[in-house]
Parts: sequence; C-alpha cells; structure tokens
Amino acid sequence: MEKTTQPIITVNNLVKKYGDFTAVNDVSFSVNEGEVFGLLGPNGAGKTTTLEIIETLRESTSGTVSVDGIDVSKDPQDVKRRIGIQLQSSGFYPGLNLVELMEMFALMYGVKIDPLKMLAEFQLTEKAKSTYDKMSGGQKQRFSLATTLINQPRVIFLDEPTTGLDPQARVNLWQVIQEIKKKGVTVVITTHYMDEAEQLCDRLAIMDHGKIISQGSPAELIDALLKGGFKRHTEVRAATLEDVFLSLTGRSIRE
Amino acid sequence: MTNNANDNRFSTAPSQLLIAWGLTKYALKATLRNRSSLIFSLIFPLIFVAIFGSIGNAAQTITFGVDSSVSDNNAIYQTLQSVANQVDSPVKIVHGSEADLLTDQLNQSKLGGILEPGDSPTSLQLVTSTANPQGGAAASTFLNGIISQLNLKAAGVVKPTFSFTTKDIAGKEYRYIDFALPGQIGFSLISIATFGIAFPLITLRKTLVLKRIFATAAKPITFVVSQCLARSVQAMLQATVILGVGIWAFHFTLANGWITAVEMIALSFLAVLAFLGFGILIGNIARDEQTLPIAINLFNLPQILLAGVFFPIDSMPHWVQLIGNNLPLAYFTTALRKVANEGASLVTVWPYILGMVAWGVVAYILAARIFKSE
Repeated sequence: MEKTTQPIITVNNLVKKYGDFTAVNDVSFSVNEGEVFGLLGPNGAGKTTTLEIIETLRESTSGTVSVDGIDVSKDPQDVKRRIGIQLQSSGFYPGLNLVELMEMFALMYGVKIDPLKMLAEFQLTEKAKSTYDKMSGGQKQRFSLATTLINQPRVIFLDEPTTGLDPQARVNLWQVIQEIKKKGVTVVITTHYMDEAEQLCDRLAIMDHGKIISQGSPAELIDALLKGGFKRHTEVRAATLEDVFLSLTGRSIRE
Repeated sequence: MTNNANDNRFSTAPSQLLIAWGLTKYALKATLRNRSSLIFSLIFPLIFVAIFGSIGNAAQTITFGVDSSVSDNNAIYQTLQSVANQVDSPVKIVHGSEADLLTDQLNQSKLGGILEPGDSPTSLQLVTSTANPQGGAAASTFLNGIISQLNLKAAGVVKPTFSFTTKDIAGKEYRYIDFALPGQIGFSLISIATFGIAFPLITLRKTLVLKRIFATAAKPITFVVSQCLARSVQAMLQATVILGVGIWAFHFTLANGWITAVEMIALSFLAVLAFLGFGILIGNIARDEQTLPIAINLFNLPQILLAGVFFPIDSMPHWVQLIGNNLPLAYFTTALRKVANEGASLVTVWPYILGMVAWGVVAYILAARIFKSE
C-alpha cells in the first residue's frame, strides 16, 4: 500500500517549555502520507504535548511543525480543517444522541455527512439514538474514532485509543484503524501497548524525557536491539496469553 | 502530491455565524430534553410567586365585624352588605352575636372594625382597635364614603358640587404581587445565568468536551456565544412561564396590557445576556464542582437580598441602598418594575439598561481573560 514516502507531517527542532521544565526537548521527526505512525514512551515522556502542538491545541516554545504543507503556527485554523483528533478519554456534549453529535461535529467543520452511514461503518447503527454515556468502552472509542473522520481529514491523531478496553474490543479497534488506513488516511497513534504498536505501526518513534531516543519500523528497531546482543529471559513461545484468552473467549466483541 | 495547501476541500473556513446558530439549536435541544433540571429551575420562583400572590390578595380586603344587634334595616349596613356581596369585593363582613368574640378578632387585627348600633336607627358606631390602626383607618375611610353618598342621596342631591372619580385608582391598584413578581423573574434569571452556565462549563472542561470542540473549526468565542444564546432563550421561556402564572392565577397587573408583557420578556433577554458574563466568569474562577456553589452564592445571595428581589430597596438603610441600587440585578428589577407597574417603555428605562450592559461588558472582558479550555 506504500505508494508514497512523502512526509505529510514534518516536525523540526520542536521545543516546549513550562517555566523551567522542558516537556519537549528538540524533537524532530516526520510522518509519511498513508502510514500508521506510532509515538511511544512512558507517562510524562512528552508524547501528548508533542501531539497537541501538532494538533494546534498548544503553542510551541520554538521549532517548526507543518501539517499537509501548512505551518501550524501560521494558520492553525486551516490545519484544524485537515486533521481529526481523538483525545485521551474525552467526552461529548451531554444530552444529545450519537446522530445529533455527529451532525454537531459536521456543523463545526462546515461539512455535510450521512451520520447513519458513518455509524454503520463503525458498527454503531443500533446505538444511533443513545447518548454517549450509555455505551460500553469499546463503543465509546469506536464512536470517538468515527468523529475524527467527519471532515474527511488527511491525518488523524489517536491518543491511547485502546486504553481500558477488553482484548476483544482492542482487536476490533485495530481492525477499524486498519480500515481507516486503507482509505488513505494517515494515522498518528500513541500507545502503552507494544503488541499494539507492533501490529499497527508502519513506523514509530520512542520518546523519553522529552526527547526522541529511537525511531524506525518495528522490525528495524527489534533488529537493532538484537544486534546489540539482547536475549529474552524467558523462552519465546509460539503463542501468548492473549492468544489463549482470545481462543477461549472468542474474538467477537461483547457489548 | 503531498502539498495539499490548495486542496479545495479544506481551503474555505466555515462561517462562524452559521456554526453559532447551529450550536445554539443543539444546546437548546439538549436543555429542553432535560426535564428535571427545567422544572427544578422554575420551581422556586413559582412557589415564591404563589406565596406572594396570596399575601397580596389578603392585604387588600377590609373586614367588618357586625354585631348581631345591628338592625337589618339600617341603611348604612344595607349598603355595606351590597358592596360585600359583589364579586371580588374588597369588603368582607363577619357576623357575630357575642361581642367578646368580635373584640378578640379585632385585637388580633383580623377585623378592621366592629359595627354596633348607633344613637339612632340611621347611625352606626364603628369600634376600632389601637392594635390595628391601619385596619381601623381603612374601615373608617370606607364607611365615611358610604355615609357621604347616603347623606347626599337623603338631601336629594343628584349632582353634587364637589366630586371625584376613583376609576383610575381602582384600575391600577398596586398589590404585593406587583412588587414580588418582577423580583422573582430576576431571581430566576440570575439563577439560570450562574448555575445554568457555570456548572456545564466546568463539566465540559473536565470531560475534555471543550478541548475536543476547540480542535474543530469552531472558535471558542463561537461556542461560548451559542451557549449564552441558548441560556437566554431558556431564561426568556422561564420568565414567560412566571409571568403567565402571575397573570393567570394572581392577577398580576400589566400597565399597558400585552405590550408590557412583551417588553418585560425583551428586558429579561437583555438582562440574562448581561448576567451570563458573570456565570462564565465564575465558571472559570471556580476550580471544580465543589467550590462552584460557594462562588455562585457569593455573587447571587447579596443580590437576592439587596437588589429588591424580596424587599424594596427603599426600605433599607441609606448606605445599603447605595450598594443595592447599583448591583446588576437591581438595575434589572427596577427597570422591570417601571415597565410592568408604571408602564414605562424600554426606551425610558435606558439608564438601567445601560447599567446592566456595563456590568455585563466588564464581566465578559474578565471572563475572556481567564477563560480556560481545559
């Protein structure tokens, strides 16, 4: 599927300081069009801050960021129209059902959509008339994902989309993200789950203490580690405990 | 190619006006769906209107105690009886055979005065009590009026030389409900403008809904305007309900009929828009739902007590009046009473509208400065 390796996001020497604390320290990377790019790292590594600067939700201290050819600091409104965002554990306007929420987002982007068709793509048809707070964790994340696509964005940003989901819902969400990728939408994702990063990401960057300490494809990063003489403590088995769980309880989502 | 800076799909910014209009509709839809909170915000003003409406009616009547020894043929008594028999009469008659019982009621201020037989068949004696001077004065004045008429009639005077008509005075009687209802509208508006916007703002901020919305093409100001408009419409509907109940159940007086009602609602809309500035300000000062009610009451309570909601500002000490008269809510209640009771137009109450707008502008500027989206 890799038709092009042109970058759609370019981050150069990005710095974000809060007083004396440097949350993002001279970070540079680029995301290619059509790929799934992972930003990994422990809590407090600066992932979310980096994402939010690219998403125009925060201003940088120094450095440049461009998204789809637009300088984020020069025309944030234009960038907003080109991207879709899923925040970590964000809610939705209370008292409205899913169809109304979709239409409300369409309104805020100035676009026309078919809410029922979009909800169907995310297996949410029977939830069309319920409110956000009456859904399961997996449904909430799928809906949140659906709202990122309302303005037919060029890039979507997903901040820990599978945190707190059961294995079935997680596997289901991976499939959904892969479907989105197939449509040509670039995906930038943060996660704490390495299996998730390995499954989903074409390339990834690992951040710690505000710096990017390594980047490349999952295979490249693993090869580099092995070249250094790394050996696993435990014997590698042909299956994981997650495989056991999913083969016992099935892969169909429970809601 | 990758540089899509000129991609048509994204090149035009949507109209913020259209977004504001649409968001207002969604906010109203969500509000009107939440029945329990709608009822909750109406219940106190309506209870107060009901209570004050009843007080107002009771204070208006003059009750005469009539001793059973008063002859049914007495002309004064007959006239009084015929007035008391009219519908909605301000006069009530209580009959009593035991003089002591009537005297007790008189001393408890339940009666204005007691009628006893006079020196002649055409006279009566009015017994009043020092315990109820107002009641006594009212009874005495009323009786005087009847007797004057009877005397003129007896003297054969059909067209008296000196006369006056009481028509206008009767048409604009000022009762407590006429004072209380505008105050209750003010009470309801300031509640919506503070509780009704500050709580949702904190919740939307905490659940990252604000941040998510500001990640779209909608600007923060657009969203805030839409929320304020939705609350203002809600407040207008509430003011209409309170006014409607006041008119229908308690005969609230509209100086110029339905035009006065329209002006009152329009004034309410303006007032709640101004007060909402404070609601947004408080919603950004308070950190969470625990501190918010305290912050709101610090703003609301002084106004409910001092700005003429329950008691007239004039009845307070001079220095309190100075504060009370200049509170945002006082500008509204004073203007609303001038419109409702005196028939003033929106144009003639401009100083009060200016006062409200000035407070509102200050509040909105401060709110914009400290506005937090997360």
